[in-house]
Amino acid sequence: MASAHARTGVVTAEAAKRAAPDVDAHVHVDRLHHVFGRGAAARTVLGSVDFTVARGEHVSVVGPSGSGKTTVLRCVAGLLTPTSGQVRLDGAPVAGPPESLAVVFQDYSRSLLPWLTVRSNVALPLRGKGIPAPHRRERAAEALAAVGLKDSLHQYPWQLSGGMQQRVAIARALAYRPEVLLMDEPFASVDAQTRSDLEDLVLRLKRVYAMTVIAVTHDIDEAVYLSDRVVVLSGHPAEVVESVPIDLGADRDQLTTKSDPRFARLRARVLRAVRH
Amino acid sequence: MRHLRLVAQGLALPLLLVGAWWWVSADSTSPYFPPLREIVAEFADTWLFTGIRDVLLPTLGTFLAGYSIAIVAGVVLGVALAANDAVAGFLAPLLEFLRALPPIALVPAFISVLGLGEEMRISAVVFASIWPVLLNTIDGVRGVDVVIRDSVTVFRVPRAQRLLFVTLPGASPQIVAGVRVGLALSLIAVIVTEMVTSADGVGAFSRSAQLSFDLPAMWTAIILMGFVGYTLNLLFDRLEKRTLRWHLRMREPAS
Ligand SMILES: Nc1ncnc2c1ncn2[C@@H]1O[C@H](COP(=O)(O)OP(=O)(O)O)[C@@H](O)[C@H]1O
Ligand SMILES: [Mg+2]
Repeated sequence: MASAHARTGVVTAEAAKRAAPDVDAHVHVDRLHHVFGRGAAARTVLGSVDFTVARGEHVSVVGPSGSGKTTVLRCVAGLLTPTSGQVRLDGAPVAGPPESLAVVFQDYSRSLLPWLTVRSNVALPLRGKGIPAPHRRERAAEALAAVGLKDSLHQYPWQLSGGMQQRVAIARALAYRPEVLLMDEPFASVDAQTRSDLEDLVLRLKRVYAMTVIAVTHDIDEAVYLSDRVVVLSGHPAEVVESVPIDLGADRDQLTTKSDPRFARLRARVLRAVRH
Repeated sequence: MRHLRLVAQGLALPLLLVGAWWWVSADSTSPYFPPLREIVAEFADTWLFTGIRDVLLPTLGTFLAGYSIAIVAGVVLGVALAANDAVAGFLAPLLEFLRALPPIALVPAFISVLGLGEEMRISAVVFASIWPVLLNTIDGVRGVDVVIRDSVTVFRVPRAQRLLFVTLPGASPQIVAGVRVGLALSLIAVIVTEMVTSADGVGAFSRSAQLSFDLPAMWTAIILMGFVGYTLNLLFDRLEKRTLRWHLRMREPAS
């Protein structure tokens, strides 16, 4: 009896210690500092970037171009080891690409493999998960249907338009069933109509696939429209200047949300922070 | 219909040239340029079909052995070297030197080390054709887009699959180009080594025909090698079209 009590006590203390820094942070970007180059060529790109993202939260990171947004994402993805500081996922430091983390790259069309069909592109990441081939194909087809590409399974990426290639990149990330999804300026190089279609697609998908999302963008409207919170990065070297909660609820659409006075206020607030 | 016209167009010039050769050489009394009529008769006599079996097949055997060793070794070493910047940088000048060295210049050295046998001939073919394969493989693997590499890293595609579905296909346009250069070099190497080692084979046959002033026979060997080279190139084209379909179609303007 006594020993059972003691054991329970130990477990609770350990759990408390692990959870201590930030109880519900899924992703903790902890004092990220990064210098590119050495000696005379050294450039401090990240000063000390610090923010957390709760499980299931959608956070947009905005900031001027060249401010270090991609660099932050690369650290979160485990593609870049910061000079100091760290990223923690559920409390565990990131060293190398974490399991169940997916990325939609800024150069999405370059991120697809031109020698594989659309479906094979989407299915390729599932090979590492030990999923048998028929299930891989099924899952890929399902994810492609979710982004509206069920008729393009057997085409090659270079046969598709930019917006469609972007959907393939999103489908590839979704099929992977990530807990964390990173997107780097996902809609930067598509036309306005495609862009708002893709924004609504992301809103819809978030309801189906429960994920923590960190999206980098330099489009403030898009950041406010899509996120639960907007983190504003200053440049040279990058620091978080403001973290703006977006309390617009879960049901959003292009027309009503974007004409909502609260939307205008939040947008103005983010814009001021960016220009500060 | 269109297909037929293309074939006719393709055949026009060769037929014209052969016709001209036939006509110009018809009354030739020069021992060096016998009438084509004679060469054709000789060709049928010599090569159909014992010559093909006894003379051409050994040549093709040596060629195939050396060429396939060069391809496999070139690709394997190339992939390994591309993965290691330090070693590749260290070896780069040596590799470039070996590539620039005319392979035939080394044949005497091969003979003194390996003798006059099949081993020597195969080694010479390997040495002649491995460099373009190896260097192009290194370039090709290095040239795989960094965004593609980041993607497969993030999605944790395992090593073996990464090699099979990402690295090799990504490098394949370069690899195939190197393998094509190697094809021509292999054929040169096999003929030259046969000429200097007087073994079986088309090179040896044509050299001994020349030495014994059997010039029609010499010409048939030259024509035969022309056909062989041409056929191998055609086969190569087909192979290239199949393996690089994505690459070729990607570069066509969108329709
Ligand atoms: N690999 C690198 N080496 C050197 N400098 C880099 C590298 N990657 C990015 N930078 C520099 O870091 C700064 C921030 O880049 P980046 O994170 O891509 O900015 P953003 O995504 O906000 O536009 C830029 O000035 C860029 O030139
Ligand atoms: Mg960027």
